Amino acid sequence: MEKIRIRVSVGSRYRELARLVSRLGIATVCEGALCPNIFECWGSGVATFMIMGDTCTRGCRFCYVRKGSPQPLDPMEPVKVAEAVRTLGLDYVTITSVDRDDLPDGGASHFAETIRSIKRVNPGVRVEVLIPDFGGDYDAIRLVVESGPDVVAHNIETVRRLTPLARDWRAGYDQSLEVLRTAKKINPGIITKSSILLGLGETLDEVIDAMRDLRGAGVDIIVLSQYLRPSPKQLPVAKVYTMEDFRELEKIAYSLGFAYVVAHPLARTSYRAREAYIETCRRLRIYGEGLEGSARRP
Amino acid sequence: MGEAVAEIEIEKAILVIESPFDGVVREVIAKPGSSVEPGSELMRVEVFGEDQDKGVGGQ
Repeated sequence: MEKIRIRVSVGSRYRELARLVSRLGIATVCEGALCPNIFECWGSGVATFMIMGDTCTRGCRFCYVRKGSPQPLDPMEPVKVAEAVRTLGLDYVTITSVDRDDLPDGGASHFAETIRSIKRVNPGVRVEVLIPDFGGDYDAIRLVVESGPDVVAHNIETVRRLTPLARDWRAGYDQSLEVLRTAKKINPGIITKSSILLGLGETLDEVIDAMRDLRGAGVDIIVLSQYLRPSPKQLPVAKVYTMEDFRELEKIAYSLGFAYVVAHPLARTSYRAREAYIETCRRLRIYGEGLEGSARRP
Repeated sequence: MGEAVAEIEIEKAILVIESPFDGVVREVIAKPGSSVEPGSELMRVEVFGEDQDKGVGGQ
């Protein structure tokens, strides 16, 4: 199968950020998941933090992040991340994490403390979090939502039929929809976001159903992108979508009522997240912020 | 600067590496078709307007 070609420029800003990330001892999903956009994002001074360690308790079959028994949480991590945000001079931060099924609250309180710490140290900063499903636990989701993130993302990852094949057995299609619905219910002012990886063998109708389900759960931003196999250990790519396919899906997504759609082969949940946030705020303000089903494309 | 000087195939994609310098490739260090480790030197470039050669490295 023809691979996607990416032009990369290893500029001085990339090297500078790589040094900084290494010196601060912070984990990034950019490296952990072998993200193809690392040169572009780091070259523009943006990185996505990955908290709660580099080892995930789940075994999703599309993901490259290390799996196994994780280390205990670093109680200083919320402070370290907040300081790193200040050092990097970021005004928009994206935080993701591994899943921590080994912890009683799935790591929700640590996540919440990280968000609070970032906001305390960096007044005015906007925080976007990509959260685990916390086993669908309401109190865990509430802890995170009430700690004040501006955007809560949780990925459905794939269509209903392929969920058992692609995701860990503890994940669930309906459970993920419920996480998104719950976050929105707890704070209707929060922007919610979800991603679908395409190319795992889904049909167009199944993708449309998944998009409709996400919209039904009140999701504001949808990210559609191409699955790229990180190594031979993960699922093979069943289909490579063309740019034309992505343009078509973008139109369909907007027709379903999403406030903002990112449809690009190399898009990932945190890719150009700041732009997506700003534009979503603008559109939702005009078309009724936080009102269910009111987000329509201008 | 900005000209494609190498292609590195990784599992997810093919990375087309642009030169970060204006200059001339003087020596190709990584053998075409071989596997390289992150951080290893790919080639040496004579940079215009500077005395020293600079290496172009992988990620």
